[in-house]
Amino acid sequence: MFPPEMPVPVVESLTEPYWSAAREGRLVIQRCTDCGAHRHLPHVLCPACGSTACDWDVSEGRGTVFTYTVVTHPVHGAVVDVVPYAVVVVELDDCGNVLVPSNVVDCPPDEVHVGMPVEVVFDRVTDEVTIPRFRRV
Amino acid sequence: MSPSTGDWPLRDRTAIVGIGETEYWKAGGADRTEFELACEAVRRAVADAGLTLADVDGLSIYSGERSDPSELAQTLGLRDLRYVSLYPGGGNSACAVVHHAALAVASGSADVVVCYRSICQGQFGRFGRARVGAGTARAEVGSTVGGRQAFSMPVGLMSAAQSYALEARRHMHEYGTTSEHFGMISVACYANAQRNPRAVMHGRPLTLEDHQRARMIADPYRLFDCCQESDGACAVVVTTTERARDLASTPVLIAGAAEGLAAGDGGDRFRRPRELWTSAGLAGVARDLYARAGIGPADIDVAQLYENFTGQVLMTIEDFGFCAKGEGGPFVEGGTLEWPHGDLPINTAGGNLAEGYIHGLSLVNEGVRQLRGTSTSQVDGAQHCLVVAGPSAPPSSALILRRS
Ligand SMILES: [Zn+2]
Repeated sequence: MFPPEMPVPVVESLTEPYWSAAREGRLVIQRCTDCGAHRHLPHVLCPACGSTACDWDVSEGRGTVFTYTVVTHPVHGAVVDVVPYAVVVVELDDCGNVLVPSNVVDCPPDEVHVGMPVEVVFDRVTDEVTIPRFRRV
Repeated sequence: MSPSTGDWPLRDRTAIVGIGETEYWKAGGADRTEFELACEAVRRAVADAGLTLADVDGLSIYSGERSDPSELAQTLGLRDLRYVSLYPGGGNSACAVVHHAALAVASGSADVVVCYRSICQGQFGRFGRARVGAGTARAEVGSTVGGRQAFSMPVGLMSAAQSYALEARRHMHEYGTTSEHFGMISVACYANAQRNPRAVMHGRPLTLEDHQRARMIADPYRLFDCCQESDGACAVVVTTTERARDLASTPVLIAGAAEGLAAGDGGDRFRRPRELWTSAGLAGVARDLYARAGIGPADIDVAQLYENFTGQVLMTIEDFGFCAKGEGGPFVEGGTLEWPHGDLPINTAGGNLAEGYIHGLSLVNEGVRQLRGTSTSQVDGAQHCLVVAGPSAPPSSALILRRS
């Protein structure tokens, strides 16, 4: 989807379970073990109850496009030859319907639309990092 | 008494008594350093107030300001500084710095506080570019991103225009808002710039057709939906209304000032409450502001609404109650925002889009001109001007200025 020059996520203490799961082909979403609320992006505590206790719930990986943009003006050297490309925000069907910023890998940018059903695929970008992206269903 | 209701003790007790600015240029066009521009804007504002630099004992600035208060105070020969404030954020803070100046002078912690912003992008490079691997030269393999950027940059979400485009698209989906609605905001701003010789886009009129033909930046945002990048500096002088009465200049009263961040809003755009996706996040600021000033949207004669992007202006209009939620599109049809006949003339000097993008402080200056009766697109008999700083960039801020 993007060239190797694309910036790669740093695996940090807070996000290590997310990236480890992605590497193994699972999309996981942080969940408060006190009140059950899901949260994404990962954060240090639950905004609903303040608890720092959490686990990582496995998503089925299905959802719909909540919103999107098609980028035609590149602002980074890695995407100069990739434009136009679409960035989507996917609302998952499970895991508290959290919103996940990502891409749709098999869809021309001008066919992306709000409400489009998608499912997760795993895009291995380095040995350490696999990025969950989506495809049309 | 809740701080957001009842009589705000500062209502009309502080005033803007001086405004100043440099010439404005397209980014990189300034022929002086950023520090020189800051000094010039402050000197002009203080002179405009009928004060001397030795009267100034406070400075109120916002994040990203590179003209350091200690250097500025020493260079300009200000008196002993008793109050210095640095607000977080960028253009979202352009009204907050005035709020903080008002708090300082009303409390007696300072007598005269100057707010300023200076930008010289030829000297320092451009604001608003992607933080990593900025520029469009071929990037190198191996750059990494941490924190919440680890979830945005690697999927190609790399600029403010792109992030705000996501919200604009959602507003279009939920409410039927169109690109033409966004364009009507650009057209109103550009028309005002044609009457303002200081505007960078003076002599560059814009039609709705021009807006629609312009290249796409990040769908649905086209070129003229995005604020320009400029060089220049602005300054605003605040003191108490009591002190202002002794000055030669005509004070403009700070009827209300408010700032804040809605519950759940913040830097992580993805976990915010759903309703904030189609809002400027300013509904709470609007509620506080109207209560503090003791007026409502129907009392606003003219408004200066910060344009980072046109869709966010439309959401600002909704948040401040000029129309119902979701009806911003139909509201802007028919020239509502256009001077002189529209019901809500906005950005009467051209705004960030067409006058100059001084991170919003130029909008405060124009609000003052409207209530002095000196705008180049003067609203007859204007009594109240709303000024709103950067939308969808919390914590943000707003002012209601009142003719004295
Ligand atoms: Zn919880």
